[in-house]
Amino acid sequence: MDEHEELQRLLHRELQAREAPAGFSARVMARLPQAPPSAIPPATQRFWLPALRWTAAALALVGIAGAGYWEHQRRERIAGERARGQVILALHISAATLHDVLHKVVKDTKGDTE
Amino acid sequence: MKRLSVLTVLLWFLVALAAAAQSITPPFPVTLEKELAARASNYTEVSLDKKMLAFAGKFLSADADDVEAKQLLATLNGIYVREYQFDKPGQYTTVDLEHIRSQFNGSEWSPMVRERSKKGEGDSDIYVRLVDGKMQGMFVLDAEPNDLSFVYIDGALNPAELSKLDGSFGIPKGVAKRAAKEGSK
Amino acid sequence: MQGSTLEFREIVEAHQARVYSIAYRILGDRGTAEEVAQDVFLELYRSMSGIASDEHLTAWLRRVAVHRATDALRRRSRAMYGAAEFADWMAKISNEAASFALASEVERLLLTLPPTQRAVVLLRYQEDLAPPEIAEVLAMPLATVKSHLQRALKSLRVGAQDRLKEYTRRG
Repeated sequence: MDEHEELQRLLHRELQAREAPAGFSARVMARLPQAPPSAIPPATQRFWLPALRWTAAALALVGIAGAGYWEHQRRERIAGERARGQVILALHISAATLHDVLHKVVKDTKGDTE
Repeated sequence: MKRLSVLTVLLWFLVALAAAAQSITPPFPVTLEKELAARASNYTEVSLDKKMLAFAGKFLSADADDVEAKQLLATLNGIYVREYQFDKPGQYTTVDLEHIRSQFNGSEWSPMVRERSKKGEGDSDIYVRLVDGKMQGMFVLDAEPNDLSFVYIDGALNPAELSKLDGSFGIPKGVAKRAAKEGSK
Repeated sequence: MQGSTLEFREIVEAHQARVYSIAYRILGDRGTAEEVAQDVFLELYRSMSGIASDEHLTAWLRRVAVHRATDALRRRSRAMYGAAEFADWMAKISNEAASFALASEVERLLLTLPPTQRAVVLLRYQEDLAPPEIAEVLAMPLATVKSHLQRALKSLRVGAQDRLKEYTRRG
């Protein structure tokens, strides 16, 4: 087994989830607000439903009318997200490369003085 | 009239030359890049000029990392990164590295870091382009037996901007500040 | 997905190890890790109506745990990235009996990585997620995830060389 596989095996084994500290769940429960978890009350749902139907119809009309415009926007958004991804990747690699070089410099400097 | 038209052409040529000098295209040797990519088991090449950076900037979110990225991009003209991983050592030579470095030999470029390992562990370089005492570019090369990375950042990456990388994108705090201090000497 | 308080407690107990481990291994100290882990579950409690399934719940917990832990780290005044700073800080805050079991050694090594690399390693090896799943959790391009993973493994390999030899000798 080569070093890379050995490391991966080690990481898999040694990074199994740790137990949370004793009493953790009790401390979480103690911090919960008294009211029950959030939920939409039925009355509100009844009010929303007709409004939702009319809104959906209106949106459908707008959608049909603006199909070409939306398609252009969609394509631009995809291209933009791709460009964003490239920027984040480039900055990450730049920072990581600079980090590695500077770390070596610091390490070598410490080695010289020790 | 003939003299005027020759002068006009010359003037346009000088203007074009000056305009080109404002936005430097990546000086990495294209043939060498292709050769490295062919030998690599894995490689990443990203080239982003000012136009692409501006376009991408519109799609950065309000997340902390994206906000920092947007601030950095504001003064940059381009970011060019190349990262190669090889299955075994010896896939590039010292001549190859010199070829890459030679693109940054101009008088405006100052070497800040120049590490050469005698044990064959690899070389490291940081070059900074200073114009009127301000950083207008940075080149970083990190060469190890099985990995080769080089980065060229074109633009006004001033020491304060560089310090903003502290703690982000993997730069340890204090290390970037030391580099920034060196760069402003 | 709604539930009574009792059901919520069961959810906490089922996922507390995962959430606490992520927080602890990103932050490196038990106190802050517990605070962050508790906050994750409080946020879950407020967001329960938006959780559609068990798979959604797990993915949600992973994402929020990573984000809250890395945010907490960012807010900290002292950075733990350098080996010297990390060693100083460990000496100061540790009030537990010194344990040099290899699990702790791996966690120490993990803390020498930048935060995002730590998160990627945890999602890969603690949570067994593939790179595309990690990319989704972290809202990060897949290429960036792979780059983080590759660099993290390289750093860990260098850092672990002596320890690995010792470990494999011990079997």
